[in-house]
Amino acid sequence: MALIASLAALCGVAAFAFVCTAFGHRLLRAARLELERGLESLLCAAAVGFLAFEAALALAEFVAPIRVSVMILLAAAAALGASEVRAVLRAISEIAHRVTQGSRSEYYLAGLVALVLLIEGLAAMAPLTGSDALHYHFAAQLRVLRSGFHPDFFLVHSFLTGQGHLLILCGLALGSEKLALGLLFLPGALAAAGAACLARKWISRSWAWLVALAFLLNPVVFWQSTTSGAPDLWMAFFAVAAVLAISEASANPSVGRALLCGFLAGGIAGAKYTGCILAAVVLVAFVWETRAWSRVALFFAGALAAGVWPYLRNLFWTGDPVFPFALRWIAPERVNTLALEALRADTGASGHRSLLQLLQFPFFAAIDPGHLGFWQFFGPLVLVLAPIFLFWPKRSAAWQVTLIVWLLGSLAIGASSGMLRFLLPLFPLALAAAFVGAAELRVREWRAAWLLSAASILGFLLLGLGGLAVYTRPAIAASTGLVDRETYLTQRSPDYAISAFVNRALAGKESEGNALVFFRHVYYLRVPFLNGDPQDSWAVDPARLATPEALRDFLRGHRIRWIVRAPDYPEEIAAPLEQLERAGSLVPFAREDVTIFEGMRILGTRKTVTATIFRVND
Amino acid sequence: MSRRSRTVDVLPCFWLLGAQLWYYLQFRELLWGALSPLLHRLWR
Repeated sequence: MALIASLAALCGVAAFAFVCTAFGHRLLRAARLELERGLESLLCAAAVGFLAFEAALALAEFVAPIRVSVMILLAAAAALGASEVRAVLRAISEIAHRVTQGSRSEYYLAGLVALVLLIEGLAAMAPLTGSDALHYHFAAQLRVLRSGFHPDFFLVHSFLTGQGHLLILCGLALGSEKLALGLLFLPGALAAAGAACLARKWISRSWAWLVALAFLLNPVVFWQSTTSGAPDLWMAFFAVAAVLAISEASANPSVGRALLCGFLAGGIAGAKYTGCILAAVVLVAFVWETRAWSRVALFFAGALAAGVWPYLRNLFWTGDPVFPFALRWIAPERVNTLALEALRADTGASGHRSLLQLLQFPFFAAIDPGHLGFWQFFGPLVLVLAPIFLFWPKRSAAWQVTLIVWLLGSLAIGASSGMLRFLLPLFPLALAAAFVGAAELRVREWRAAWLLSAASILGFLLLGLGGLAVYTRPAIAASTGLVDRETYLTQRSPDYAISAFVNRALAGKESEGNALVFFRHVYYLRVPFLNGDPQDSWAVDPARLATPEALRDFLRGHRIRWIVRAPDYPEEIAAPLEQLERAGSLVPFAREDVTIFEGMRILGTRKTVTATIFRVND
Repeated sequence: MSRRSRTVDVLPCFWLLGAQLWYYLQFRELLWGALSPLLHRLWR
């Protein structure tokens, strides 16, 4: 049954992608952009279709119930795209025909890519266990569905959600967590296709398939597209689509082409705050390539249409479009210093980089030894092979645009955030460049270097394949029904045992009030709750809750009936809470020993703690 | 093959090997942690 549900959800994702591609095709035709047939036009259509759907949903959030909006928008996209179904099917069949008629190596590589996609797709269908997803990527969207579309100052990360998160909302609104997860697996496949499409501009079709395979077998990519539950791979897809679109822009691009480039850049900016940096870099590449200053306004119009929505939402809710980062200047009296500093540290905004560290960013080699993990493991291929791309002899428009977006974008992200994994949107470009470098070694008949690079690629692909097999095995066991959902979540999902205990203990008491919780992973909570960790909660400011009286007013003001301590309170607000306990204002209601992860889940260390639920006495 | 082209051929090899070695060494603990249980199982 679980296997059927997983396969059905994957089919649902494919149908969703088809509808959006047909819809995007229609929009491109309306903009008089007759793209050439083939993979490139399909990818551009898919990108435009998804972005238009997200923009429409962002707007609908303000005015209509979410579930109804999703249904209406899907029906509208399908209706608008209906006239393009034949054209999209023809383009897909042409691609399939070319693969079957191609060389034997291309045929086998395409088969291998399909196999890896199937493995990753099945792994993505496992119940959600990604840490950030349980904290906010999915948790914030679930709260919107349950409580409506309004600001949640108890979860500061909810203001950081972007357009990609609307696809999670869409999946959850349609009643399927698997569909939501599948819509985060999809951009991995699309970005791999985009990387192959870009590489094909310089190298053979077999090499291009190899680029797609290397992308999918990269540990950071298969983590992001399977279990992470994060929408960051959409940025990678839009970035490579933008490079493809700008590469085809002529010296005096049409209105439609300028709008398209801007629309794709806006898609990147709308995904998360750091996306604005990449969108600015895409604008630089557009201006550099087309020299068409007169088209910049159109580029901006396209970008705003696709990506302004999360910023407008934050502006409307808080007065700060990039809440909470600009609040220091807009309304310093409303700043929660602790939460802001925690967020700055979490996003890398507070770090300092040396010049040498900065120069390592374009080559995906700026490894932070203080936070070593596989989330930084992009592999050495870009480092060792991509520099050859810099000296590529046949300098085309695609070469220039790739170089500008890849180099300038990675340096800007390195300078602003200093986090290697934030380079993921640029990885398809860098990987395509690396494989062009390897192919160039062969063309130049540098025999020893070519053999060594081929061995390096093969070695990394084998390492990736082994890593994929080991990493996805538990998830595939859950998605195919070999392991039941409850067992999988108990073993793999952080804080699941605490959530399950709170759900059991407070079942039937939902109407009495909210539960204040201090643990991070709240997605599986099924009772009304508020996040009380001062590091993640803008509303819980220790400076304003220093006394038991202030805390009591706060609890009353937010209808907090229950407080969950597991095992301790956060030290920043422990004192007033313990004073309330001693004064008898917090009465123990339920207690249970639960086993949770200690530190990061990947380390696999567990500990048993006592979770206590207190009832707040008025 | 002339001496010059042999030199041109061999020089990139130092870069390819050296840079990869530097890269993998940074992840040695993680890679060993992931690979050692597998190798141990295969050995037994």
